Amino acid sequence: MIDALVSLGNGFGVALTPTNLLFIFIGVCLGQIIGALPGLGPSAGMALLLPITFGLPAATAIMMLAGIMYGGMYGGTLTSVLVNVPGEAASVMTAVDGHKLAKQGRAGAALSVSAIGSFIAGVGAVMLLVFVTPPLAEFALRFSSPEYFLLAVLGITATASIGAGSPVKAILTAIFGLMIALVGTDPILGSERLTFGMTELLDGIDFLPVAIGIFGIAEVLSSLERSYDSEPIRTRLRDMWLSAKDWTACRFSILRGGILGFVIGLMPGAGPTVAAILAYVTEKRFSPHPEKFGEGALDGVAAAESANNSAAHGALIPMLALGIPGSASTAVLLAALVLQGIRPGPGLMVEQADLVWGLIASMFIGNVILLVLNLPLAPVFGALLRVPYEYLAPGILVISLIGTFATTLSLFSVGLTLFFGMIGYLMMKADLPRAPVVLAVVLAQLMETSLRQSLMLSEGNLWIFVQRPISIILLLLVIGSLAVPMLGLLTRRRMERLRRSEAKISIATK
Amino acid sequence: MNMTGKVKSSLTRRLMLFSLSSVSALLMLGAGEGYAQGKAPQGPIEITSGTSPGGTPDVLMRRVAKILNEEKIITNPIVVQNRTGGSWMVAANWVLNKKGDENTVLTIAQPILTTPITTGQPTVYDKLTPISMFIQGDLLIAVQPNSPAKTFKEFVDLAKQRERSIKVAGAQAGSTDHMVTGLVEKASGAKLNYVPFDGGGAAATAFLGGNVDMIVLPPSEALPHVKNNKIKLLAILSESRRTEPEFKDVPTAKEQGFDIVWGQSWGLAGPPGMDPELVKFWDNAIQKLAATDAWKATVKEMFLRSQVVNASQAKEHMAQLHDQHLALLRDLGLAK
Amino acid sequence: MKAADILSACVMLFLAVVVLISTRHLPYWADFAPGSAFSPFWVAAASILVSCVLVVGALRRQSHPPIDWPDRQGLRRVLLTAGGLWAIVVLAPVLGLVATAVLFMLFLLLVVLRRNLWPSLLTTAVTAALIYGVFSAWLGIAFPTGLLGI
Repeated sequence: MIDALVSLGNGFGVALTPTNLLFIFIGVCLGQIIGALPGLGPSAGMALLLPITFGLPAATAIMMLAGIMYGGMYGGTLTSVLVNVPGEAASVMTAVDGHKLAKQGRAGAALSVSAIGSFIAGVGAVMLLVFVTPPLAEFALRFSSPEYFLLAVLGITATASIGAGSPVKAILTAIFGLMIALVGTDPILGSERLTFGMTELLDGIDFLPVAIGIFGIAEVLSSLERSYDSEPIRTRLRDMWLSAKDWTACRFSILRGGILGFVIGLMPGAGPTVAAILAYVTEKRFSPHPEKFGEGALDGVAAAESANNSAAHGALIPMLALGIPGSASTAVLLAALVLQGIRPGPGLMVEQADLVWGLIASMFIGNVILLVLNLPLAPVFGALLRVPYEYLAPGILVISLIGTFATTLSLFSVGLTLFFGMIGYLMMKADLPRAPVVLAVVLAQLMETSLRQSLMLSEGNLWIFVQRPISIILLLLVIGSLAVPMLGLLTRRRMERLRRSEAKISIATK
Repeated sequence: MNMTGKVKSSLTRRLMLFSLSSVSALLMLGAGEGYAQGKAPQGPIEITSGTSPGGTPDVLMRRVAKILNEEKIITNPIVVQNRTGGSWMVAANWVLNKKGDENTVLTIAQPILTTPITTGQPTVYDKLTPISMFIQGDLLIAVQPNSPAKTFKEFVDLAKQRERSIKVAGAQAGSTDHMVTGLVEKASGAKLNYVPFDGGGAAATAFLGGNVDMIVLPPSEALPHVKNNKIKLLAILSESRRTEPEFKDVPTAKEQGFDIVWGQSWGLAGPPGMDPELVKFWDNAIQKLAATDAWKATVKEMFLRSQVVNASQAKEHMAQLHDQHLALLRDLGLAK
Repeated sequence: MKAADILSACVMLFLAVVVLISTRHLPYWADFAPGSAFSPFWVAAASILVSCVLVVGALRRQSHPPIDWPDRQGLRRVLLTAGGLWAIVVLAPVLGLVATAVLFMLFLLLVVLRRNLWPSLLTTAVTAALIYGVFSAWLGIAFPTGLLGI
């Protein structure tokens, strides 16, 4: 404990030099921008900027790159809330509820609560990183295929409850998402599925073109239907800030989202996107007003945004303690270390104490910078919506497409995004919920491969799901999450029947 | 020096006006180098890579680009572009479609050979203009530290006791790990249980969590876990042992009586119909690169080998590699 | 909504059939674990089941709010925008991606949305500057450049 504090003190010594401070600042600002631009996410941005860090000392380079990683989590919120295009994958749930809030004139509140939530979750996660990294890393290793399978099932079972419309339609669109996820090379046996001979589809359909198309492009298309002298979204300054009431409603959401996100971030193989989705669906269960989810629930946004930031930080634990990348972004951080001639691995925290503790200290500083940047600016960004939408729409479309192009450098991705944009538009017309599609795309592959891996590991024995302590807990959660709504439905029906029969009796006695 | 050189590439096109207007500048640019007689590309050069940024071939090529520029072996700015998708086939097709282009080269990695085999597409390697294969990586067979097997022989005996009782974690079907597992099965007669994960990182996690018994690792990834006593190395799959103190005690599989020699290799190839003069330009550049201290340091640091197979032999070498991969993937039932 | 529901169900039924047919040659089970065709089979089966439930529900429901189609003007804007978007993909290899994107923006602002000239030019310039500054200059992304070389 004391050791950790002393090391952290040294870390601050490293991080607080003027050069390092400058690069932390540059890193988080870059992250904010890259996160906000649709298409390119923090991991791709970090990788593209990797060559810039060649000339820098290792600690400085890593601090800057890590800044891009968590800065991206703050930045992604912006585009999701303001224009309904997920700026990066992990803010996809924010695109659902955050944008609805913006339409209600509450963009500022959504942005503020995301910034505060991300800050609290981020700093909390770094605290845990300071004190309990080695045991947490060991804990992370206890997650394997069976746990991932149950985790994905837990997420998928929640699809029916997402969105306000009929559960049948939600399930149907989730199945559509599952079909999208089937496309590509089967990772276990290597056989091609549903690629129709297209080379570009061999690696499957990435989540980003689907999310940007189905949310962003579709939303812009449908907004162009309205008369072109449409009024900008009216925002009163009072609504731009987070009210005390909002804060009371959201503080526990931030806490729950932050903790859940951290745990999921720990697991190599899940990542911030899964964390945000699971935090959102969990929050819906806890929320006093679940019907608002999908229609602009501030607590849903708070939970999802806190979760993705704490997951981004949590993923550093297996990376620092074991040399295992827990997410795409930490994989790039690892590559950066290797390029600097530093070998990541279990010895890293001792051999490179200055670097590791400097990095940890830099994350405290970086999160503070991001909060200071985002909180006062939230109403300013919110005011961006006062720009007539007709001028914003073309820019949104073009930047979304260019951003998707940048992820693969191929026009095929652009076409794919447009294709899903058209589908998203038709889905809006047919009153089909769109969120279950992206949710299924994220979770489907995790679910399928981990089920097959589990059974390969157990030589076909289903007991593997109950023999492991963590998986049995998850299994109980899955059963619970299925049973509770069913029981609720049954009791409601019985009550109704009872009431009806009582009514009949009363009629009969009359 | 061919001043009016075919300006076909879109990248050079941007610079065409500029370069024609400053002929003298270009002459100086050419004359300043040691290969004034030969032909050199004009303008920025793209090294096309098929992995997302951060993958091993990507990291290697970024290093190559950096050293080539820093040591002034090639003065044109070199950029590594990641054209991902289709298990490297998107990157390969990009270069295949740039027939005769002077400013694009393709990173050669194993999927360039294996993806056409496993998907039943026409071969790619023989349509490119081979330049050089100059990076080689060794592979190690590792087991859990508490495994009763102390040598590779004991491990094989253990695996033979019950079919498919030994679980192996590796990357996707058809990956290097999968092929090595196939080689082990073939050489030993034991049947293993190969469980594919989403890439090497996920496989290593499954191994460290104690979920599987065996894993195939390159030395650089194995080292930290050896130091921490998290894995036990049984064999290295190269012709000879490595010389570093960390690995000199790891015997080759061959020494232990199993004829398994397999490794990874990376290199560069040009688009179809690349000018022989340009191939020479690249060939020279790679030979110079291999002689630099910076490159030697990189190779040492990443526990690789760098034997330059130059342009005159690269074609034959790649054909040989292709046949080996084809034979192995056929045995594994993955060839189409 | 009745027609939309039935149509959505039909599309999903069709997709289910496509999934079933194109994966029928793959193994359903391999050794210990499900094979390549396991998930496609169950996803398709679920799709068929849920589509049927949706059709039955649509036929039994009494009230049917009509689909919210845009008016003629709105429809024209949506169709032109969608067409313009696809034109980007088609024209980018010829004209260059950034150039096509700029043309698309001007087309959308001036022709489709009938905005004023100067604000439209300004918006386009700002967007183009953002694209060049961030994507090209900074992240070093190579866009298709086309005949004009931009």
